Amino acid sequence: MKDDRKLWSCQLVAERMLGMAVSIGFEAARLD
Amino acid sequence: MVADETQRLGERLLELIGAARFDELASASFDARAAVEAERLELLSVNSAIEALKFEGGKGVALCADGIRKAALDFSALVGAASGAAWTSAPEAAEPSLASSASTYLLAFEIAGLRFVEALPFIREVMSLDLAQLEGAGGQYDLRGRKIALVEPRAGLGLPPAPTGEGLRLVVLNRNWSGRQGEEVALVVDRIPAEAVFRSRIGIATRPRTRAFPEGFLRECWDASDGGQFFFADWLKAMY
Repeated sequence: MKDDRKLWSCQLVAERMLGMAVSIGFEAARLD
Repeated sequence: MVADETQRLGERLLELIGAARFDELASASFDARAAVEAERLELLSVNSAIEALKFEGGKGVALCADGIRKAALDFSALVGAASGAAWTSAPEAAEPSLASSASTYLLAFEIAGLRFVEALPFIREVMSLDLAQLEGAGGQYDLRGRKIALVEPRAGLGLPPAPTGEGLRLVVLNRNWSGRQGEEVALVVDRIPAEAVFRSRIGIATRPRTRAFPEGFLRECWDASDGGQFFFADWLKAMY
C-alpha cells in the first residue's frame, strides 16, 4: 500500500473532520 | 451527537490510513474499508444538516454541517465510492410557485430508481440498515430502545425487491407531520448521497409522468430542474 498521495489526501480529510468535531462541540455548548 | 460521531469517524479514518501507510493493510482491503467509511460520512453529512436546522441562529453549526458535507464529497471522490444514486447534483423545482418566494431544505432519497423528497424539518435522522435486520424486523424498528413502525414500501408500490449485497438506508421521519416525539416511522430506502440535502423554491404540483401510484399515496409531485420529478409521499399509505 504505497499510494502516498491518496493517503495524504485522505489524512487531510480526516484531520479536517477532527477540527470540525471540536468546532461543533464548542458551537453546540455556546447555543445550549 | 454529530460532534461525537464526527470525531469517531475522523479517528477511524486516521487509524485506517495509519494501517495502510505502515503496510499492515493490503490496498484492496483499504479501498473496501474506506468505501464503508465514505458511506458513513455521507450519512453523517445528512444528519449534521438535520441537526443544523434545529439550531436557529446557529450559523456556526450550519458552517460545520457544510464542512462535513464537503468532507464527505471529497472523501467519496478520493476513494472512488460512487453514491449509487441516479443523480449527482442537487436539482431544484423546475417551475417554482409564483404564490410564494419561500424556499425550503429538502432531503432526496431513492427507492428502486424513484426519487422521493421530504422537507428536512420532518426528518429525524438517517442511518444504514442490513437486509438481515429487515428480514427479522416484523414491521418494527428498534430505535435506541424505542419501537417505531418500519415501512418497506417496495412490495406495496409494486417495485422490485431490494438488490442483495447492497446496503439499505433508513430515513426516520415524522409520521403525521406534527413533529411530536414518538410519532415516527422508519422508512427503508436505497442509498442517500451526500448531495441529498438541497434547497429549492416551492414547486407547482403536477402529475407523475412515469408511473401510477396507489390512490392517495402521493401528497405532491413537482417537476425537477434535471428533467426528473420529485415525489412527496404519505408513507402511512404504504404500510398496509
